[in-house]
Amino acid sequence: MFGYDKMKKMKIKKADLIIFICALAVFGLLWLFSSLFLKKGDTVIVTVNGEQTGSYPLNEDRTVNIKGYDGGENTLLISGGHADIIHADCPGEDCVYQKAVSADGETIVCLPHRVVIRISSGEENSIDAVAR
Amino acid sequence: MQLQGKGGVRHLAMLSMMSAVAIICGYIEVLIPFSFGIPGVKLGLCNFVTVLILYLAKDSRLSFCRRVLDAAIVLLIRIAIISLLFTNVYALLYSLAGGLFSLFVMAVCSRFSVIGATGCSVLGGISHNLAQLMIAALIVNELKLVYYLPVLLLSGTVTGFLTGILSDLLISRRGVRKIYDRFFEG
Repeated sequence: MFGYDKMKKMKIKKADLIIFICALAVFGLLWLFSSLFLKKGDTVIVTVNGEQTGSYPLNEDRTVNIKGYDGGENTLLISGGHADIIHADCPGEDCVYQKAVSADGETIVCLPHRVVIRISSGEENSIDAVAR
Repeated sequence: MQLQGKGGVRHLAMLSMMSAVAIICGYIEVLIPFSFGIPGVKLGLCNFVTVLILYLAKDSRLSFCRRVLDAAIVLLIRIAIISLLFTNVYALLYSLAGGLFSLFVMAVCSRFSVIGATGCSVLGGISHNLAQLMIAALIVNELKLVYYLPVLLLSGTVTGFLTGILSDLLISRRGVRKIYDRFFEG
């Protein structure tokens, strides 16, 4: 089915490969850029519908129940320096399947309940404070 | 929109067939868990129907506007039906934004003869993911979602390349072309 003759007929053009390689290169640059600036965070910030509803230190183990937009509920577990959502009462549970976060700037998002869990580091906050 | 007479009925049949293929692709996509724990990462199998419509009729007498309109009709039908049947309604907004934006990008791509179906599909996959990310950032009011950009870019590129090769294989087959052209013979 994928014999040489058939492959020869395919019309993958030079421009297609250039587009593919360029896209991979852009990804590589972005990834490099973001991993260079990735540092360990120390605070978990919870926002619901754009409003901050709580922040918790990353080094203390605890579970938090988050009341989301539209009456939804998510359960956040902080343990061993990682934050993870372990339960959500929406049908999709996409946020539960997202992996635990620990680095500065990493997020877990629950779209139906408009909940965003974001890791932040103290330094970033101090810069914000100076800028204000 | 002209759907009268013999040609119109054939056209309608073609659109229905393409929609059916797209909906089946959506079903297959739901069956295969391919998410790696990141929302928005998916196979994008449905996209290849759009690529097919844009590229199969390139040599036939369908005009550019006609092809884009066809693709848009099939896109809207498949998004409405797939999101009602297999996924939740929240997904509808994201697929709508992603689908329409990627259709726009791919339609522009198909105008340039340098770019083949594969490159078109890669750009379509990337633009689909970009639009979805923008809508998600708008809805949760959190610009920090931009951190997902590299991952979504990679997934859009890879899945776009795979579905692009798939549609290239189909387009280069004379049998497929014949079936398609038969819809538009006088």
